[in-house]
Amino acid sequence: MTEPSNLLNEPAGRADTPGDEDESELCRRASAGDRRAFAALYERHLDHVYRYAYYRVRDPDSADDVTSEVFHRALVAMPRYEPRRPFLAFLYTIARNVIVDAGRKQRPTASFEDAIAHPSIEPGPEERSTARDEARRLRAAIQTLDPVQQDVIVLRFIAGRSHKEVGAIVGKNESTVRGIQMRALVELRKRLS
Amino acid sequence: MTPNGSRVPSGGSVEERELLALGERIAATPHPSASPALRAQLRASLMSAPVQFAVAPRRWGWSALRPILAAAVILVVALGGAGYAAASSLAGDPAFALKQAAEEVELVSAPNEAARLRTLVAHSDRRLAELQKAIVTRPASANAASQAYLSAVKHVDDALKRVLSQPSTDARDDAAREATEASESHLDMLRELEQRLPEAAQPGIQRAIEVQTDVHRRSDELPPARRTPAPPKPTASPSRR
Repeated sequence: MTEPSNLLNEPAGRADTPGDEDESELCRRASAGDRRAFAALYERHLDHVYRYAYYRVRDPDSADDVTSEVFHRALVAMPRYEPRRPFLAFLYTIARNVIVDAGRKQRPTASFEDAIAHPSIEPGPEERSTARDEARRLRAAIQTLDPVQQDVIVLRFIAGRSHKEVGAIVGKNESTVRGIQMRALVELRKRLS
Repeated sequence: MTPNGSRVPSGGSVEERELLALGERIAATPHPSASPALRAQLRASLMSAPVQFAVAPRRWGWSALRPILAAAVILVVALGGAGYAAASSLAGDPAFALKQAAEEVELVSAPNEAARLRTLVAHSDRRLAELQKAIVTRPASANAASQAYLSAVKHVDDALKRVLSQPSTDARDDAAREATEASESHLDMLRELEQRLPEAAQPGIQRAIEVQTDVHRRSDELPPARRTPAPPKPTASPSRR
């Protein structure tokens, strides 16, 4: 499907952070075992990973667990990290694998009613505004999609990755990612209507 | 309008425009961030995680194989359910003994006194991270955690004395310098922690501060750091500066 929108090519909320020029050096040092360099990468990307996990699992506790597992796996895998690859893509790939592994133990998707009624995503005191209600509803709707659609929607519109980057993470080419994205948006529209 | 100022274009079909608007709604959703508790605990855990980075052995003798065998034992333990329980255990937990046994294997595999010192510093990093965790999640375990930390620090002190009794070499000086730098970092955290520790854990932490102060003072016995320091080692403390 043709995408006439800048949004669909480069969506808002891009997750790049300032100081990218230092990232390759941090990665090099972290790969050599420098724990402080890894800590700097952790500080830089923690929220990105947490956000991805938050939208891909059903409750914040699980998002905490996934985030923790991602960084521990990344730490162990650092000596094998390929420097030419963006570090955040490396983390997203690990995150996706962690969620896939967890999904083998539990139901990967939820019904919309179940997801939105889940106690763990009830609005807290800080979630009483209309905007927060919409956020909760959107998250519940995203979680009813199949796992690949969830990945594409979260990586495209919440993580702000390009089609190419999403394709590299989920192992599909750009045109396939575009197709999945549009089908997922159609599904989301149905859920939210 | 998207959060970064882009606009939905006017081209495309009605359906496409509707889908784009939906994409914008998702992008504009207030996104959550990791909680401060997760941020702090995960960082401490990562900084003290017992990760063994591969180092090419100089020769294929028994001494070169020992770290590999030890890493294999640790891996087997870590992969098992008991290993998982041990890794997250705190002082006083039954599984804590398993964690200490794995650390003993690490220690035995150290090829020399400098490596033993580095290993013991890493262990003290873990004990400090556990103490921090105990204060937050299980205050009843804080006393046991402070005693475990004190024990670890005493081992560092003893190992540092042995290292400093040897002739000065780059390896010896680097290891000793890392230990004294770690002690400085630990002292900063201990002074902050002592304000929050329960009464029962105070004697242990006060004694630990004394021992760490002794460790730090031994930096006076070291020659000035070289201008081109060795690559950092993967045994940093929870918030080594």
